[in-house]
Amino acid sequence: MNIIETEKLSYKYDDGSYALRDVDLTFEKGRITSVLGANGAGKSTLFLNMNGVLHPTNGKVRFCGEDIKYDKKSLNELRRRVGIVFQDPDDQLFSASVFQDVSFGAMNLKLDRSEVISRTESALKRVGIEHLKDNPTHALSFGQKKRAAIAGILVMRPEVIILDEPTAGLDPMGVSSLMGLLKDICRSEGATIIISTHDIDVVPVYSDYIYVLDKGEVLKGGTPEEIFRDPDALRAHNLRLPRIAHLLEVLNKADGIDLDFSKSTISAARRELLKLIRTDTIL
Amino acid sequence: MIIDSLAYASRLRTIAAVQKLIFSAAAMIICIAANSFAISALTAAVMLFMIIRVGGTRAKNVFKLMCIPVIFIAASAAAIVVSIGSDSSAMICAVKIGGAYLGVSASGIAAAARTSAKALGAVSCMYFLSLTTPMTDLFSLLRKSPLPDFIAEIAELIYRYIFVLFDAAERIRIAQETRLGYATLKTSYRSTAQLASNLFMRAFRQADRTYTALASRGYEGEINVISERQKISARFCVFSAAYILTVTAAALFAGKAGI
Ligand SMILES: Nc1ncnc2c1ncn2[C@@H]1O[C@H](COP(=O)(O)OP(=O)(O)OP(=O)(O)O)[C@@H](O)[C@H]1O
Ligand SMILES: [Mg+2]
Repeated sequence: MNIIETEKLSYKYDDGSYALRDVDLTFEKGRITSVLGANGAGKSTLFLNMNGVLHPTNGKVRFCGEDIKYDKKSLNELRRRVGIVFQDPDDQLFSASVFQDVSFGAMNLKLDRSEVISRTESALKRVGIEHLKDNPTHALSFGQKKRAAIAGILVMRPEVIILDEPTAGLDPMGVSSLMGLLKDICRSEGATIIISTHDIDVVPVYSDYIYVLDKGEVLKGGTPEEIFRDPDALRAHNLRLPRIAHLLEVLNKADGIDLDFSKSTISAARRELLKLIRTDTIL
Repeated sequence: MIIDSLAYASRLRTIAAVQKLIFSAAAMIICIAANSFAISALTAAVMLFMIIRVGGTRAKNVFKLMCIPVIFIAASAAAIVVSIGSDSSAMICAVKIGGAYLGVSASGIAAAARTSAKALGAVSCMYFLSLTTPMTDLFSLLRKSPLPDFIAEIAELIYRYIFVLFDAAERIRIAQETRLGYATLKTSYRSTAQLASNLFMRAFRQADRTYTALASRGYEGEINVISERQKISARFCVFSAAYILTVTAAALFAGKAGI
């Protein structure tokens, strides 16, 4: 089932330039979908349209099969169910206290006090900053602010979580623990995760599906294997293969070894290589 | 901003904000109402003791902060000390200017001392509150107060985004400086103007984006956040009550004795 769909979605900024043009996308429920694209491809604009913050210039956004309506009541309902973590955490963190900021979304759900506190504490723990809950927001590092912003959405337990470049600015362990956390939320709670990222190497590890955007248009959609099968198309649009796949591609093209370079995770590549070694075609 | 980070580090931070507010307000009222040199000095001494010894804030930092009001107090004290009169008999020393005397009298010195001490006592009460209580705790208090909620909300948003804009200003300044924006007086003027106008634009855009972000977390015109309940400290209650009672009694005595 598709939880969010866009149909011929176009968005024009006030200065007259189109940031999105006739975008048709579908996001399947309970999956992790990545949106790739160079800087300025339109990822952030797309996300803001999907949560009703920006109104499409043309076309439609559908949530659970129904067109989004832009009256106040429907928007509140939508925002309850579709949470978005912004690219810049300073846009999102409005409170001087980390704990209070994270509690904000839960309070707006009109939950009772003890539930708000327990959700806030568990969200802080899940993103790994429970020791900072009493710190002032302005004293956090960038990556810590990013985590606080993510916790601020987790407390709402939305059906869809949209994250605009969640891995930017996180340390390597932070990236893998965040992606692990998202995968866990997706698998155990059935949430739908939509992320944009420039971190190509983590994409195949966590994504069920990938869209590639360029200059406001959808270039391609597919599973990681489908997307990475055509590296030249990616390069033409300022993207690249994951390092692992790149290695396999070089081995394949430069050394003529029979390898499937759409295998872009460590475990898939390992299997691919082991197969070769075992059959001894390598020598 | 440094005040706030000192407050976060203070050992008295965990005492409920409302208790500290009551304590410092009561101490300030007594200090002002008593209008006595001795009581003012006592108030200042107790507050500084609480901030430095009990709270653990470094004395150097506290005295640095104290310098600011002290300069103003000294300036106004000077104005009180010097008096003008047609008669120089009450003055300790005086200069004759035209038909009047400009001089310093004993009563003038006493009044100046009393007023300065009173101001210093009141200021140290304020410092006690602000050096032991982070702004966020005060905002929570403000929310619970009978004042309209939007006052607390606006105060908090302003406070938060001061840091964001300060950061932005600092980044712009560094970016300009590394490209020789402040190399000569002329470029300095230009860079400063650009910094100001950029910051202004940024503030506008920031407001827009913050509203967007709030809206996508269910903002409907009211900022509801949970404030952690602070436990009331019985020890501090007892201490406050004892302080208020003793100092009030001392103030009555000091009033009679005229010190
Ligand atoms: N407020 C705005 N006004 C006018 N044009 C804008 C505005 N915001 C973005 N754009 C333009 O819209 C296009 C898409 O921008 P968008 O922010 O969606 O890109 P993005 O894919 O998120 O890029 P990045 O990877 O850098 O975050 C860009 O060409 C950008 O210049
Ligand atoms: Mg973006």
